[in-house]
Amino acid sequence: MMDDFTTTRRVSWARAIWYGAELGVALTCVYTVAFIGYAVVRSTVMILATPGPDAGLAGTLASTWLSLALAATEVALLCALPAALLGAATALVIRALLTLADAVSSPARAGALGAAVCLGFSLALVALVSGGLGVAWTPASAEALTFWLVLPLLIYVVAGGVVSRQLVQTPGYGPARSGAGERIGESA
Amino acid sequence: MKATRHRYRLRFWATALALAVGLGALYGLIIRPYHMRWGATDAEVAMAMPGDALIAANAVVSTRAVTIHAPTATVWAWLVQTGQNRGGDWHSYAWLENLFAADMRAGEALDPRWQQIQVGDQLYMHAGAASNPVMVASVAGLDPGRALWLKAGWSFLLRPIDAQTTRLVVRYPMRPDEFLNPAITFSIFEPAHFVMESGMLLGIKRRAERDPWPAAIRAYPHITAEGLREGKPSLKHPPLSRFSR
Repeated sequence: MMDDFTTTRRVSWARAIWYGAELGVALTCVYTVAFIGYAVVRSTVMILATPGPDAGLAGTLASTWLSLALAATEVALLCALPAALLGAATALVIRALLTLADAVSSPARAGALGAAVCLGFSLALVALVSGGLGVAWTPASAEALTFWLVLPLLIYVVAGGVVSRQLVQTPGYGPARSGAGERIGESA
Repeated sequence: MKATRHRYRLRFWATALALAVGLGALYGLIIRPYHMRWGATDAEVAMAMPGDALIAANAVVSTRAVTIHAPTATVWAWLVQTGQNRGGDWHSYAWLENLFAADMRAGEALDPRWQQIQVGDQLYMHAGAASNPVMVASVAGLDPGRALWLKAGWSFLLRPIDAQTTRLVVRYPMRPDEFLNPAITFSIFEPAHFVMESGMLLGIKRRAERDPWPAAIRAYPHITAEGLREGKPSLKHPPLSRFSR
């Protein structure tokens, strides 16, 4: 099986790292946009509940939205590097395990494996935050932990499953076929 | 197929980059000049505030203001119970602060327990302030019913316009190193501070206007001095010109 697989077109190690990093940053962007949308709605509700700010309603709304968006974007930029590193490490592990677990022929198995890898990384991160940094789940920290840890990791686990499943369904990535020996990202 | 995916990815990153650059330019050129003096008149921007002497030389100062249709005593009562450890919040976006584990609880009623305030009192900006002095705003000075100023020159001034109307003016000096380094201070902390401070002014306005003469105020005659009731500064308080340049 391994011999067959090595002659199959597949994503190179370098390309896997690149894709993983890119996906990590892209998910950070998507999460940031979702947060900005949420914050814009909630701040708008409060501003509209207060009649007549001296600075004008339109200006107050626009400056609040854009200030929220800018601050969130800058925080996302700071988070992009760790997200890229996590994405790259995850992609490497998934690539290796897809081969070892013979999951390339089964999208369902590949999806489960991808999600499991992400779950493993997530649990390690949670252990690091709770054990290493001493952050505990309390009523005061629940919202913060949900926002900064639980929701992002949930998205990460789901994305890991979906991407792994789609990866093995990509034309040229599946089980070995005779005569196919090119590696995506290493051809030419 | 591969070329199409590549095009989509390039388009995604180009769009993200363009949005980020456009957002930064829009903020720097239009939004920032507007929010640094949000709601304040030219005179309020230029006037001296009681905490000005505490402002660091390299601080970037904002002056913001709001008109509140409530007596000065009522606005003062809301102002002095500010703090996570006092009334429960800073009258702003508690849900946003709680994303940073601030543990704010929106205080929607005046609480007589927090109507006394004195120099040295600590206003917590976060639940962890007890063990982290950075998250504490200490009262540096006050003029009861008129002005309150915190460490580093963060000042709140109440200007009675008439018996039912008050101007609440706030000045905040932002030091470039306030949040790790100048780049982070001015790109993250400054816009976030505008959101929170304007939210605070609007929060006080909304609460004060909901019940301009609450029972808690009537129970505290030292706040509802005759001058405040008549819309004029109390004789116990220095004239407003004391803070004027």
